[in-house]
Amino acid sequence: MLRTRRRQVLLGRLLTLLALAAGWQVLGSSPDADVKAVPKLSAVLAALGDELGTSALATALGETLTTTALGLVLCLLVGIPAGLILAAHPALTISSRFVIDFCRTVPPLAVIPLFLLLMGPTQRMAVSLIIAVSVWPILLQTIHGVRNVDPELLSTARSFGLPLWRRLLFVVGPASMPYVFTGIRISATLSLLLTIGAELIAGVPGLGKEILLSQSVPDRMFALITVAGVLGMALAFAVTAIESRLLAWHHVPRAAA
Amino acid sequence: MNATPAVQLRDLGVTYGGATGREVLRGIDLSIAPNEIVCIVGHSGIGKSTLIRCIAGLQRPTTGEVLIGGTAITAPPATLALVSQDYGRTLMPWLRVGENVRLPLRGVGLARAVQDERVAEALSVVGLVEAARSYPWQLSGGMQQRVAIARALAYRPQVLLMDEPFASVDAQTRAELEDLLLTLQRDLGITVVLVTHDVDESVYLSDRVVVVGGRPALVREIVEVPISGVRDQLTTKADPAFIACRTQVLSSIQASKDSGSAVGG
Ligand SMILES: Nc1ncnc2c1ncn2[C@@H]1O[C@H](COP(=O)(O)OP(=O)(O)OP(=O)(O)O)[C@@H](O)[C@H]1O
Ligand SMILES: [Mg+2]
Repeated sequence: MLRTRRRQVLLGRLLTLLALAAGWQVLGSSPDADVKAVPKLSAVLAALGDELGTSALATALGETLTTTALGLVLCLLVGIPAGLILAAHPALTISSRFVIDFCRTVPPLAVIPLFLLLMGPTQRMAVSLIIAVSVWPILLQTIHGVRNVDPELLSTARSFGLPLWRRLLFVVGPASMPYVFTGIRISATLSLLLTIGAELIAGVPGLGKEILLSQSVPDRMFALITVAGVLGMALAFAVTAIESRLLAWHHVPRAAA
Repeated sequence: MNATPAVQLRDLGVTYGGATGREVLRGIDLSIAPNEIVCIVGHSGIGKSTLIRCIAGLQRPTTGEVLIGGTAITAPPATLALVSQDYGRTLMPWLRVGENVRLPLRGVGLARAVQDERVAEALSVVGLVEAARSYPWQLSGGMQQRVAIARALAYRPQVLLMDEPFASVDAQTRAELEDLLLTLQRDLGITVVLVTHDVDESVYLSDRVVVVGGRPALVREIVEVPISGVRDQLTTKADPAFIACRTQVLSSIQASKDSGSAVGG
């Protein structure tokens, strides 16, 4: 029963994909001047095949991935402890609230020129940009998470004499994880966006820069955009996979209820 | 009364919501000897959980002090374990039952094998060996309550505080757990303070029953239970001494209600 259903879903998705591919191919073959810039799917796939053989794509992909991962990890290393500290006392939470709200609402791409000016088109610049922008969702969600830990759990840990660091590690940490992960999901997407943005706008080496450089070669450009799309999907998928593994305890009771 | 009391309350009072707030407890003086079992009974909402949270060091009394083993406490003492009334919310939902029971044993210098042994023993004592690898939310309320009890037992406290610990289990299991508590208390020599609504239970378990009542709640009466030797569900509950105590506790609760409403009205 479940199996047939899953098969149906898969089949449906495959058909959608095929229909889209066919549409693309038709559009690419159109003689209309307005869509002449769109290459045929077959041409894009051929370009993609060529690219996969070269080291240029691998290098660019590697650069984009490292920048994103580095930025995201640093966001975690900064955001979670900072969130813990700001959540420690209501006064801290309330007084920091305004600054955080301001910082996280600055449109992310608007600050690229500033960082470019300060650091030039380097990976360091892209990583700094990511920290400046994607740390906020993690920070905010950590604060929410910590403040929403059931006080009864904390009392229990306290009554058994668990020292502060053990309470943080074994009670506050896991209990606030569902909130923190929401932040991580947002930050991961944001980090990739910023990496590609910095590469595209500021010329930091990576996939975005390659896309920019291949503007005159539409086949290649489309192939690279496809790679960027797949990268985004893979990242989102990886975060969700980790989340559903770590937070099974959180999702299952909800699903059962 | 020459030994240091295991638990001592001196003029303990609690007022919620600052100085103008609601006074729940006033002038509670109570001294509990080592190895004693004391039950606290009283009407719902009278302040029993508040009292036990103060003894556990989880809540600062507004007035007075709590002494555990002769020293005034400001934080939960390590020698003490609490089974809270809201037991379901005290189990970590991300830990399996066995790990929940183990949590307080970690980091106190016990070898892993000793921890395993204690966890297994505590779970078998409450009849939950098969549930060790389940998550708390996969268990019924009564089973969760027994996990909370197992966790406290595995910790081997000197003072065990229990807030209506048997409220969610069936009568048969309840009787078994009561007897288990008596056995453990005898074997391990622990001091037990237990809150209950059930007058029979309070008399059956206790050396002394403390009746609290009124608004604010005071200690209304302390009923000594003069039943010596090993207690038994059938014979003890038919014992004339048991019945006399039961009547005395019941009437004391009744009286505290009348006087309470007189004060309140
Ligand atoms: N954190 C709090 N803030 C304000 N009032 C409180 C708080 N906790 C308890 N109270 C009040 O104090 C009174 C005593 O509560 P408590 O939980 O100690 O009663 P109880 O005797 O344990 O009741 P029950 O038998 O129903 O468990 C109640 O009227 C309750 O409304
Ligand atoms: Mg209560």
